[in-house]
Amino acid sequence: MRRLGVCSALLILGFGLIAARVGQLQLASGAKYKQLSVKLALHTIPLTAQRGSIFDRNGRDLAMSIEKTTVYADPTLVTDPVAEAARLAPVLHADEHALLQGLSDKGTAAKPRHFVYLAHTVDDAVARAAQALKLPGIGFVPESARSYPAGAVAASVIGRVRSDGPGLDGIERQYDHLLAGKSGELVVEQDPMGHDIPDTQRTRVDAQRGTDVVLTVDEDLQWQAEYSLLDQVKATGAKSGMAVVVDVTNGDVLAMASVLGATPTTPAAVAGPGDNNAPLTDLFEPGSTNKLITLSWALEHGHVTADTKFLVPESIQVEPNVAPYHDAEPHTGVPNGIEKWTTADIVRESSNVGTIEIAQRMHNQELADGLRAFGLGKQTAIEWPYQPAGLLLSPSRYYATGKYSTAIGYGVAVTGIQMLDAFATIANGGVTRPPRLLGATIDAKGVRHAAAVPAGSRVVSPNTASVMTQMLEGVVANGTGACAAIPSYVVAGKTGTAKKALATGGYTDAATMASFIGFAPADHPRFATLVVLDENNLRYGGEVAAPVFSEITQFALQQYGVTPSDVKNTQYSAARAVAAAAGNTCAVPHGSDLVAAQLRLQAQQAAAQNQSAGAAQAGAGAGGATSGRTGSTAGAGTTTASLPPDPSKHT
Amino acid sequence: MSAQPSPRSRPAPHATPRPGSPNRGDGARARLTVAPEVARRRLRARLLMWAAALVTVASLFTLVAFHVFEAQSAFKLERLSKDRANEQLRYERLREQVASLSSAETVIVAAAKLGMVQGGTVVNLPVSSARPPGGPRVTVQPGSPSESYDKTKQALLAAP
Repeated sequence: MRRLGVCSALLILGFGLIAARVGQLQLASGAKYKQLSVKLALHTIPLTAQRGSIFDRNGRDLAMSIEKTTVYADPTLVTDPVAEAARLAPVLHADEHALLQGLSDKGTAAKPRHFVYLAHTVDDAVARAAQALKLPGIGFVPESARSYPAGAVAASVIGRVRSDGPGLDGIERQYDHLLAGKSGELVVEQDPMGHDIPDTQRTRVDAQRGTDVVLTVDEDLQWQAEYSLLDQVKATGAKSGMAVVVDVTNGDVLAMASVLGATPTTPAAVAGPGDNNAPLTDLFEPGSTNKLITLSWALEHGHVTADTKFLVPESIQVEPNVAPYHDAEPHTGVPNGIEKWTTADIVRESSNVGTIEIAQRMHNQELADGLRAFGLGKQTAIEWPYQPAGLLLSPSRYYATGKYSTAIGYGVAVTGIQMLDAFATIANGGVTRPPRLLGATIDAKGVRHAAAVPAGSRVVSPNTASVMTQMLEGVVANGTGACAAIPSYVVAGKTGTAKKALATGGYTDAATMASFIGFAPADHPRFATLVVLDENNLRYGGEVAAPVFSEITQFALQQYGVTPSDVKNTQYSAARAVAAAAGNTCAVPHGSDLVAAQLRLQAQQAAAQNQSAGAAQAGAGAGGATSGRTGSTAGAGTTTASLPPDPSKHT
Repeated sequence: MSAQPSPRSRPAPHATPRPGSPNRGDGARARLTVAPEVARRRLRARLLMWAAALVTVASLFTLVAFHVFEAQSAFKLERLSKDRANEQLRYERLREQVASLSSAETVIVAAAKLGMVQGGTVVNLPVSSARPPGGPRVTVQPGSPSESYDKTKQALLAAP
């Protein structure tokens, strides 16, 4: 009985102690332990917002984000860094030394290093191969990666993103605020194995997917533009090239191509991500394409009509002490080289002298107003990072020659899209048609929001636009732009061949900007296209840029099923005859023709080099007595007589 | 303790008074009337006990079952969530594959592998010169599109 009592007492005491301890833990320190437990079990999982996609106008993916695997290491768990680096390097296609550095970086005793990136967003096959190695301390996490399924097509337009997300350039940068989305987080209690504990605290803030961006660009037309331009850049040995196609009816930019010419180390190639999107960023002097603005403004203000006659000599001296302006081609077959040309003839022949005679009827301010009215000197409606506004001389700084240089496209700096905008204005009956690259956005719920079409403003009357269009048709049918003709359609356009300015002042014969800008069908304009080739082996815009224009615009017309407006090929036949008489094939060489053209170009360049080497030897042999003359000749060779004076000399 | 009889000392309901014992007619009658009430109480208590036990067991079972189902659902939800993520990933990869395979660059490369070559200069043949020298003359039907080109063109422009 007594033993039973003792046992009972001990049992009660034991249970009492346990109850007291439980009471102490629960009541006295309960809050502290609860907090500690929650802290250990609660995990905050960041929910990365998926970046929006970039589509072309037909919904084809140009850029999209997909989840890929990133390989990381916990150096504190790595047992043999040297061996692991050696095994991982060939699998990850990474530098073994760099891997070894990462794997060996265990941090300090106070602050051990638990995470080192080894390879970002590797392909599935690479990830599987790395996982198969089963190396200690090597881990894998999913990470969103940007993919460009269309390859290099429109790469300079789309731009690129940094590895951690933000857009660096191009559309990726311009619309980063839309594409990026908003990150979320999931706070959840998990067991040590990483499984969610049911019926526990769980807070979720969903990530908001980025908005999709639909561009106005057409992937097929973009490819065609890049393909045609690239082959012409290769064939002519140009330094670079650009081409843009705009839908005149709504201002949509359907194609925007940039090509970089060959260098001693790299072949010519379509501009990649990170390269300049030349039509929106590169400034150049437009040359004769600017005559469109001069003549339209002169027509609009009644200074001339299409039939106004001018006596046009081969050169004109606007001031006694200033070098004269020349036409590019000599005036042969007429007395004293003086042509009797109408305004339309001046446009057709792209006469500098004739255009200057027209500009003489205008005030400085009038011409400057015309340039601004057509959109020069200000950014276009396209939203683009660091888009330049261009450079225009103030009329107060025209001095003796500024007006005339400006009238023929010198002394002004424009972007390609600005000049195309001016032609689109004429194509649109005298009302500006602001270009746009953003067609629509699609929000995270899948609702499409069409981007606003910027309103245009009238620049010239419909009559002026119509007269100008007819004159531009003449340029193609029977003038400098014959190679721009397209079978079954009437084309209106203007050639341009601008000599490039030297850093030391004046202009050089050795480098030109050859361009052609036009629209088709001229009687019912649908597409306006610009083609510019930089330093294209000294050839005119009508020879090198017009064929590219023809090829790209023909593709666009056929792709969009535009009704032919000249099935009798009246303009095309006439233009072909003119081109054939000038010995121009009007073709963009592709395939085997391109190879032949490149060989011809190499032979020409080698012959030119031999010639210049021979001349240099002859010069050296002639001795010091003739060195002054040689220098003078060289000077004349680099600053041609037909050049307009450099406006900066007259400040 | 109360003066009431113990539930265990069950009295005989119809006990015959022994001869010579004092007459306890009123008291016996009273016990006889009480006995059925006690039995009912006992029965009720027993039923209540069983019911409480049943409810407790059922509640416990329901609670456990509920938790099991909840845990199962949570795992199922997690699995579904993973499946959804995998399907989403698969969809995106397929979308990328489609976009990549249908891009102009890929088509050109594939065509080249099939032996196709890029064409050289494209020559456009005007319709008027399409007739070979000495070939049969093409007669234009009166009222055909070629004949009434302008009319056709206007019609096409009106409804492209």
